[in-house]
Amino acid sequence: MARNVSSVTLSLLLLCLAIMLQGCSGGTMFPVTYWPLEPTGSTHPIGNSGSEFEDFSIPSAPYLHLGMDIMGNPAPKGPFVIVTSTGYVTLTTYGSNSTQNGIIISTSDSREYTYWHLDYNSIQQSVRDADAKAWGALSAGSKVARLHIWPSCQFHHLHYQIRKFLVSMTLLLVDPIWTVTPRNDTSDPVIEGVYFTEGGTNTELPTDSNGRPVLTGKVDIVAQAYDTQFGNYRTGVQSIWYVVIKPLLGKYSPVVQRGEVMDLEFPNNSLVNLIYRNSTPFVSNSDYCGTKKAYYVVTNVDDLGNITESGCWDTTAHPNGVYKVGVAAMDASGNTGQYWTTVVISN
Amino acid sequence: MNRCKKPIQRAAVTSLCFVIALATIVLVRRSGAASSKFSAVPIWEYAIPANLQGIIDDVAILPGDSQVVATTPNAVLSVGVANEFVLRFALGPGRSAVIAAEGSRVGIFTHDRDRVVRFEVTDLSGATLTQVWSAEHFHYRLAPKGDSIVGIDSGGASLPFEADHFVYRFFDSSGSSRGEVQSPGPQPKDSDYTPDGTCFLISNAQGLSSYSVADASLRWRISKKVKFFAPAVGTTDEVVASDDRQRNLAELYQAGQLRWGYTLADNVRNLGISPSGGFVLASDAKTLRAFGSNSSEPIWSFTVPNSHLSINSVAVNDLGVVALGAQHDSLGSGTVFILDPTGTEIFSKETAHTLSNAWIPVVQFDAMGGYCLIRTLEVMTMISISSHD
Repeated sequence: MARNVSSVTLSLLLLCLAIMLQGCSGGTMFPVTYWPLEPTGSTHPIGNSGSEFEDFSIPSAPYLHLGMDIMGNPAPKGPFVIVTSTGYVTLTTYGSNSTQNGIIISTSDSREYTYWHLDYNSIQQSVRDADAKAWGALSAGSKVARLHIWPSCQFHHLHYQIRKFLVSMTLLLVDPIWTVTPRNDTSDPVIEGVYFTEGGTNTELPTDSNGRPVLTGKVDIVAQAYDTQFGNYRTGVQSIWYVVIKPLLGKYSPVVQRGEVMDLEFPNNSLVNLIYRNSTPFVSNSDYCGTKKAYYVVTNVDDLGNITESGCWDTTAHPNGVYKVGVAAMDASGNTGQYWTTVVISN
Repeated sequence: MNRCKKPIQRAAVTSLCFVIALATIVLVRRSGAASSKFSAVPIWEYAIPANLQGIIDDVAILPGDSQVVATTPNAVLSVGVANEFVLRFALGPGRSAVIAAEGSRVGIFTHDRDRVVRFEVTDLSGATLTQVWSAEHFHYRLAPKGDSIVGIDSGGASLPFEADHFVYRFFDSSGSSRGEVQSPGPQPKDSDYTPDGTCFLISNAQGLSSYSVADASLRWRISKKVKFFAPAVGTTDEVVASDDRQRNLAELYQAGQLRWGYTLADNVRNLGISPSGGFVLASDAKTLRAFGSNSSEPIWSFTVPNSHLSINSVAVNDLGVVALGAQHDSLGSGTVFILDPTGTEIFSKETAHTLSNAWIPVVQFDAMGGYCLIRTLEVMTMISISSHD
């Protein structure tokens, strides 16, 4: 009974959040376009999403993935990358054997569109023509190149990244999934597990004889979660949050704690170690050749929605007893996944 | 790869060679090449098998030889007078290759997910000569003779376009570090070796600089941003560069000092300089101009005879023989011209293709300048260049 009530409660919360999140996506700051890969009117599998955890053991790792990787068949037979917004072109090439050939298109209203991992052998004449000019433009709809044959695990993809220079001279990035249509993803995010640690640490709290975590003091909630978008590749989720209810037998179960939403729509690389745990036993990884894992620190959000290490769930605010903790995640299409677990507060 | 050796292909190529020879005689007569002391004669043409079309990455001509070494995502191949692709060695999963400009060495990248974790230099049989283990470099450049390496580090950025600076690390033939260069504001065309491999040029927001490969020491700097550049051998300290802002301005520098500048009618599209620095090329889409190193007055100019052609590649050897590849607006054909040092056409060839890109038809000389390779994504043609002196 308590589970049913709590599900209703959470569903209402999810609905409100969905409306809120859908409303703040893109807008005029990041206009909606077709997809940047043929066929542009169809969805394509996403291999890596914006704000997703990445760690390839390069010196800068870990970091957030700042664009989205659109999967496709590579050159010489695969589809062409297509310009989504008209703008001035900068072509960068390191040679036909490099994975790092690409273009950046700058629009007249200070947006930048990056199309990366292009196949050198199919970069189109019009791209070079535009690049040679001081203010050479490519029109929306122009063919750019096919996808580079990715050397690892056939992970052939277009890295598509969008950012805008704000009046404040700061940069705002957006997960490009919010800017493309169609976007009729129907798969729900999946939360594989929820863990409770001492605040700011990886020390898991003990469990009682029934296997229920026994919580004391300030607690972090760590959720292992992923999404799939138009395919089978694991990606990140767009937002994640938690609620705590006090189960009351035969009665309405009140929400006693509602965590602010960790909104990952706008990637900010400086937050990677606040969003994700990446040490034993919560080792996030970005291994697209294997099974990716992402451990979100759901509690690292303050009351204003800022992602911060100081965020936590202070269990001392609640009387000792049994509670249910729900973690929910949402994708850019409004699909949600949730995971419930029972805990015991014992301060 | 064994299918590359089918006898039927050999027969087809032999027939093709005959047709080429015949066509060449006609073209040579038409172009009035009899008045030139240079000649350009096709010696082989190879139709790239369908399964390799569009995936040949790097191509180099062995110096003084008509043999070509090429890479695909899967293998290192060669093609030459036998007129067939021969497998040199397979690359295996997670590896890709680059050919040293002079063709005798191969650089092999080992990839692990998004990283390059190793770069090794091999001979043409695939035997490792040296290697650099590092996850810091997203790309490597291999010296023309394969005797040094420069690793390019994006300075902490996960992708190079996000980098505010690059770090270039110089390695010698044993893989030992010879120094590094910090480069703020990397440019889209970021770096290149000189043709003799003694110097390494780096373009960034501060300008274009030349460094000694031996110890990464600065030799000279041009203190303004350049768009494109092409260097001569390190001993000349000469480089032709185009201005980043005034895109129709081509300039010749020596040791960082401006020798001359020339304003083209339209944006600079191609630059070239002979390895020893005596001849300089600059073209927009329609007209190529040839210069000596001492004067901004063009020695000659050549305008494509069809306004639908755009010049996509140029090359010049130390004798001043120039090759020019131009693609038709339709993207389905092109024309290659070879001109002697006076600008007299000594050879031309129509190319037809179904696959196109922004650089075909590509023209390139071997290091000695005696052979010129013409290639599209579907056909390679080797031209022998000779002087009647």
